[in-house]
Amino acid sequence: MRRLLLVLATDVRRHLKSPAAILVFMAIPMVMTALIGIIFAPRTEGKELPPIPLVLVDRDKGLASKLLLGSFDVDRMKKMFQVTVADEAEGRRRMKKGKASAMLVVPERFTLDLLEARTTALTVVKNPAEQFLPDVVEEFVSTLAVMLSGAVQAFAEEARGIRAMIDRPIESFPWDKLGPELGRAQKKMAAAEKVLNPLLLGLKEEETRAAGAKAQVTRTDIFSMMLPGMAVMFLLFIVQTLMRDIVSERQDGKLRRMMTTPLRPLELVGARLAGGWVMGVAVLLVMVAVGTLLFRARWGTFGYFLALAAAASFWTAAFFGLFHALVRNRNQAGAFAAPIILAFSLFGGSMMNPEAMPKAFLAVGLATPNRWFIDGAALVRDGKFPALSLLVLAGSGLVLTALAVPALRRRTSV
Amino acid sequence: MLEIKNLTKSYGDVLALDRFSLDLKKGEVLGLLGPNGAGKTTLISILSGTLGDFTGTASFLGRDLFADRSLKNRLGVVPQDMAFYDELSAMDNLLFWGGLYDVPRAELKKRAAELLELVELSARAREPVKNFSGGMKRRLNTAIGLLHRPDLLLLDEPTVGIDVQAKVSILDIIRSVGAAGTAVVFTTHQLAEVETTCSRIAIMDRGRVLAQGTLEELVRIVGERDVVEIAGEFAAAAFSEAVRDLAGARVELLSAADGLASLAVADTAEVPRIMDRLFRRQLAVTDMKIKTPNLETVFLKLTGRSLRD
Amino acid sequence: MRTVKRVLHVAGNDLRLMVGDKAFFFWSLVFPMLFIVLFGLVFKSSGGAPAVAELTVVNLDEGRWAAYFLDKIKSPTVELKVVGAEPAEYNRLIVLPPDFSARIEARRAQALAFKKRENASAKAAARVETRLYQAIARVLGEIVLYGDGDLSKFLDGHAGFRDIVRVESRFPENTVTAVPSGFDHSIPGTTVQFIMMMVIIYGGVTVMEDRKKGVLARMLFSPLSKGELFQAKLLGRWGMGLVQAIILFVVGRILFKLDLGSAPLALLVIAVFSLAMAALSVFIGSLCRKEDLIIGLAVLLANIFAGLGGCWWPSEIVPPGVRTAAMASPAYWAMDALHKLRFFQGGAGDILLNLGILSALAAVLGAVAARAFKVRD
Repeated sequence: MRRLLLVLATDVRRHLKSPAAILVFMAIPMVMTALIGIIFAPRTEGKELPPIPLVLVDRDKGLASKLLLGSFDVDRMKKMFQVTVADEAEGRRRMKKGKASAMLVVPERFTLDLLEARTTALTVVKNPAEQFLPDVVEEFVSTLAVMLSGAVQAFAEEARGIRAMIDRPIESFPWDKLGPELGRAQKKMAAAEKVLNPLLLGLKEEETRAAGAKAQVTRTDIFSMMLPGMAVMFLLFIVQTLMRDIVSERQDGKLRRMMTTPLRPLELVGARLAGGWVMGVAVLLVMVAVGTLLFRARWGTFGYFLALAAAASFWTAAFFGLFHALVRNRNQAGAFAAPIILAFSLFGGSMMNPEAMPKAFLAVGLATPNRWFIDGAALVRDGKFPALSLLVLAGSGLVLTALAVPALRRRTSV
Repeated sequence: MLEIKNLTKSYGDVLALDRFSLDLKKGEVLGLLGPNGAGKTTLISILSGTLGDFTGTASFLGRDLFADRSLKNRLGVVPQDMAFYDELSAMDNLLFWGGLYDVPRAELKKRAAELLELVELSARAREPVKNFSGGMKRRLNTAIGLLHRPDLLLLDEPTVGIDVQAKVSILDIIRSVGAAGTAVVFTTHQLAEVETTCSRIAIMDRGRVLAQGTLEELVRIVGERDVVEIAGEFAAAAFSEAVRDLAGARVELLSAADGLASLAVADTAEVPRIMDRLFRRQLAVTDMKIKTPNLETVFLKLTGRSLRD
Repeated sequence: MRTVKRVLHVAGNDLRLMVGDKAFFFWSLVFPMLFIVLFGLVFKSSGGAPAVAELTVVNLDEGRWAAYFLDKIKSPTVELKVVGAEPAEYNRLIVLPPDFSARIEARRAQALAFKKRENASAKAAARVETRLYQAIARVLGEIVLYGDGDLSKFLDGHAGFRDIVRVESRFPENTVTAVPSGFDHSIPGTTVQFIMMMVIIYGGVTVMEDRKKGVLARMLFSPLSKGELFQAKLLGRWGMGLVQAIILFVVGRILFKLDLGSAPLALLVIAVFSLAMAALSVFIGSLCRKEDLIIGLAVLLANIFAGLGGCWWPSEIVPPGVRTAAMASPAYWAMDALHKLRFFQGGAGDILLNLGILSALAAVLGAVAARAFKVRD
């Protein structure tokens, strides 16, 4: 035991003396989390969603298109859209420069068509280089179209009356008939008011945490959700790097030299596995500390998280113990380890929101430590004990250890 | 063929080469001996063009070695590092390294095959070098330096860390290269290798050549003499008394103890005189050895016995 | 001429060594393909949301209006899952309370609970929410139009809601004719990201290893000068980036019908971009002495550049500050140029600025790398 601890302590001290690579590997998840967090965090903390740049092409130049343009001028809409009136060529130029997500083309005769309750179409020209905002514009305009359709149908009679008057020359415009038409419209408005104010039917985004649901996510929440995935990915990278000594020592003769001392192979194997485990836990705790300081990330009950970190590090140490017993040399270790880690991370949800992932990826993800760590961390964040994650990580870690110990012993006695 | 004059190079305050000068003729195999830090590798690096910031001149084939890059086509270097690609086969390595010199492709292939034969690697020519033993790698390392039939070959400790067979093979190659007319500069710590391989020896330390010549010349230069060790049944005082009148420029009593004494002699022709004297004085001699000075004694005399780092 | 031959000889050998490495194919082909498939499927529909967004409806309504309302929500992009009680697991959920119909008929305002799971796709939620607002607008519109009297009789029969104003969507003329596939977005992004990562890792590590083994110094024993050796190293790594891009583009074309717009111009963009990355790899390889450090730096830089540069997500959704910062990423200029070529059928004139900036970056990084380049530690 004394010799095991001596090897373990020397390993730790040695790695602490040249920590550049480990520090870079620890910086990566923090930088990635910051980047993704800044980009995807909801703008509920003082910062509004940037307005979507929209070009409005007015071919109608009538009352309806002016009203439509005016509707974008109210405060709430200004926050959503940044509207520029221009022709189609300018709109295209803006799209190409990435300065417009879409163009809304109001057709000729739009006002007249609405007054005559004839079917008409607004055209949304979408920026083909963009994947998201043009669809937002299209969805919004579709909602606007439904509302316009409703209004047109509601005031169809009055509109027809006004339309008939518009066709007359200005000098013979029957001003006296305009009043009753507007009066009828006003009555209908009053009737509609009962349905629309307050809305007979509305939506309420509930701030509930029942059954894992939550209405609004803050930037801190995003960081808290992302960090475990990133942390476990780089836990794998760092522990693999540290445990690569198993192969290096076999290659450079240090192992042979150690075996000439009273150190028993089992003690050496134990030191290597314990070293990976201890350093893994330490790495996770440092990332937790930095994540908390930098991002105010929430981790939940510390004891539960520590148990999860211990289980994940144990799994990682056992896995890379076995891995390094199987590979022939350092180059092979480097060549195989990184793809395995990235595959774990890709399938296990470290790189992407699980809901957005294809189902096949999710199924494969169940075989990765990332998935269980991320799921466990989510439960811990919600104040729950991550029993299943702990069971899976510790159980499979034990199986890996059972395989790793004899394999490493065999390679040690060579 | 090669004339080095006043080559001086320093690393900060440390003088690695101090007005180093040396001449080398065609076909001459020069063994360059020196303790660690003597400046051997610095000299090879400067001559091979990988180290700059020095003063002095080197003329090779009548031209300035440091100014005329085309001379590199006439210069072969075998570094101490196994500097080649482990992933490639021996043949591919030879073709790659040879390709850096102006050797026509067809000739290069022929030459590579010849060299693989010479270094006895033909059977494994297509195998990745990473599977080779240390000795095989050393042989390949040497072969790479010979690809373009250089007029001058610089070898920096070409036999480090290999077995006797591989060492003998490499030394044979060096001898044959020298015999074919290539001038060779060969640095090593193995004095025996130099004794058996080189036509001339230079001993250097602290960046300077301390002595150079054939082994016999070196012995003469440093004034080392043969040592006669005599064992027998005699008292120290009696022995000293017996040889007293022989002592002079040609014989010197080094030590005398009861039963064992040693004398330095200028020539082994003095030994019968000494033995005759001992018989006349009836001193019983049971054993007698003559120790002739070798490179090791010359080397230690010139460079001292203190350890170098 | 001999100089050029020697430079090409060394560069070709580097390329052969890199491409000959079995791991190269995993890193350059298999792993990027996994990324391409994943991101391609994810971005098949807009902005990272699943193609069909799911909405769980807890229908507790005791009247007839729930069915009418749900009919209005139906859409090819929204999948309704109607249940009788709130489940433990869901992505988005709306509750139609027991008095849903009764309140409408009594003309009493109500707000329906709409819940979103915290880690579900925000974009899918936005799509569902928009659809819900459209459905509400249709219901309210019909009530305003035809709901004068007793609303309990409303569902027995009334004229339907007419979509007088329709919305048509299209792309600008002379750009794309069909909706670009997710792969058209994911392949260039993944290619740019993996060129950065692999060129820096492979290029940097091999420069460092060759220096440590004395291979670089040995090359200088030959008539090759240090400057030529640097050019050869740069060229080898540049070739590696190009080979990687060509493999991914060809496989993308065969498997996913990738359309690059103008393939020669796209390759030109990648070529200039790869040159900059090749210079960066030689620089990092010259500075670092440890393989792990090079790998760490490569992963860090490649991920930052890729994230900022629009390789992972549509650049339009990032905040303005990040969009400005993105201009510092070489990946941004490459992706922007590839977008212009693919989505706007751009020509050489459209990407001149991008090429200019990438070339300037390559020149600066090349100069810095040449200065840092060393053949021995």
